[in-house]
Amino acid sequence: MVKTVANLLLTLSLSTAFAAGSDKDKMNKARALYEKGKLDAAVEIYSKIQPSSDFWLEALEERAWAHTRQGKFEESLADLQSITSPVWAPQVGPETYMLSTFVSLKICAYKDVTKKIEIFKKRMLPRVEALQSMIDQPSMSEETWTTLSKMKKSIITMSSLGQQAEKYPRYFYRDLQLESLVKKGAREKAHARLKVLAKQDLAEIETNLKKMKIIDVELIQNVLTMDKDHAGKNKKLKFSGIDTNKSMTFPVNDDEVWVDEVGHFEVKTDNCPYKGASL
Amino acid sequence: MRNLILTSTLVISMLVPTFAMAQGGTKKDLKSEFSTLGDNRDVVERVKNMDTNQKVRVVQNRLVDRNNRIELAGNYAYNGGGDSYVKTQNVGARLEYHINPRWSLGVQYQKSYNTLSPEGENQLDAALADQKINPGSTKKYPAIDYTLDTQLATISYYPIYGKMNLFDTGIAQFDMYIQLGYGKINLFTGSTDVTSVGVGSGVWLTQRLTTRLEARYQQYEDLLLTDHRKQNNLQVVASLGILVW
Repeated sequence: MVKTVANLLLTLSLSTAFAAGSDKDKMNKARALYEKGKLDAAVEIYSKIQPSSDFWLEALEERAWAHTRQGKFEESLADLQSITSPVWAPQVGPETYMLSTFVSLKICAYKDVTKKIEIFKKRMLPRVEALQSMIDQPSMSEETWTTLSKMKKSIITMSSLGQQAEKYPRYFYRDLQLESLVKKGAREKAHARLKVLAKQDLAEIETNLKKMKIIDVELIQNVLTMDKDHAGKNKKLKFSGIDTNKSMTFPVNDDEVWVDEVGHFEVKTDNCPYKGASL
Repeated sequence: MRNLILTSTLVISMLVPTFAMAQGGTKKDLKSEFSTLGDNRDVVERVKNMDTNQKVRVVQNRLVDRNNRIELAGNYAYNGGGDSYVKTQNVGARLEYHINPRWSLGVQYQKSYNTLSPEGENQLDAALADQKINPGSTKKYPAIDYTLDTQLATISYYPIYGKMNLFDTGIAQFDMYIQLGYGKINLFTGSTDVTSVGVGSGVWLTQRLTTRLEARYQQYEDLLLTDHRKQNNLQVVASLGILVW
């Protein structure tokens, strides 16, 4: 009986590891295609990453980049709507929010730009505080070491960390150097490595903060120099029809998130009715 | 040109503190750097009055396919209204053919179980007691007619759908429907036509398991001794079924 359970667990862990490995391969393949500018092919591979994968959020973000480069802003915003949902707040990096804000600026959705700037501040400030406090700590806390110790069994994922993820550098558990130090039980060295990762995250936040400020400037310039007559000329937007025998549509409410809806957003936008962003 | 000057001035004024921090400041300054982001109240106010030319919706697949499916269900119905001397409960079965998620055709059979209501029992007891004391009493037993069984053919239209959180264990989709029915009702005094109109909701729990809650207004004629009487009643029907095909 014990042997059967052990075999089952082994099979399960191997299949999970295999799936993770295979998703990593898919990501690498999609990234290579993206770099070569083969965006359609890259999008196709990103779309194969399932929501259960630890790479899903990254796949959506990178697919959003690909859509943005293709000028498919509606598809890009649909992906970004999923990733920037409050559900994933502790797991999403600053670049995602910056991209989302940038795309809104490109389509002249200025109200959304201001909203997204606020969201960026709201989500990034606690992370900056947490990372800075990690850097300032002379030694690793017991809680952090307990979390890191789970790496010995390779059972950490972003979703298993939940809200706790905010306290740590993003994807710290994928860092091979840190993993090796944790497995050796080198607590002090692991702490030093964690600090390095925290500094990298802070640098990323800082870089994106600068970009957000440039977007903010562009917004100010567009709004202050905009012909006021243009502001009310938006056309009524209509979504394309769907097969009602197979699908359902639901309205989106920013205050309430249904996890099952994440990944199923559709966005309809109009082209810039007035002078667009020059970024 | 005016735009260029404005942009340059704004960019320089907003980024100078950031670059200064990068060169000589400490990382702790990063937190304070956020305060200058999106702090132009004039712009925020102007933007608030603008339309956002963007719409977002969620498109999800129906979790349960109801195209060309057959649902078989058992149901329990409680009658409200109708004859005040009779209390009727019904147990039955229904077969529903789902043409698509919007339309379905159904047939139902209900077997009725009748008892006297407290008011009927009082009337009966009073008449019996009166006749025991005075055999020539004119106090009458209550005149009643009651349902034996009902067969109904229905057509249902499902214009509204939604989903519900099942105690945080999962999400089930449901459809609300309106239903028209016509059939035969067998009464103690004979058979008569019955028409019905109802509203209900069907919750599709899994690919196989379904449940319904329905309120149905029925109309038929019964017979009290020699008088035909129009009867209206309301049935509350609860069903549990399976999608067999």
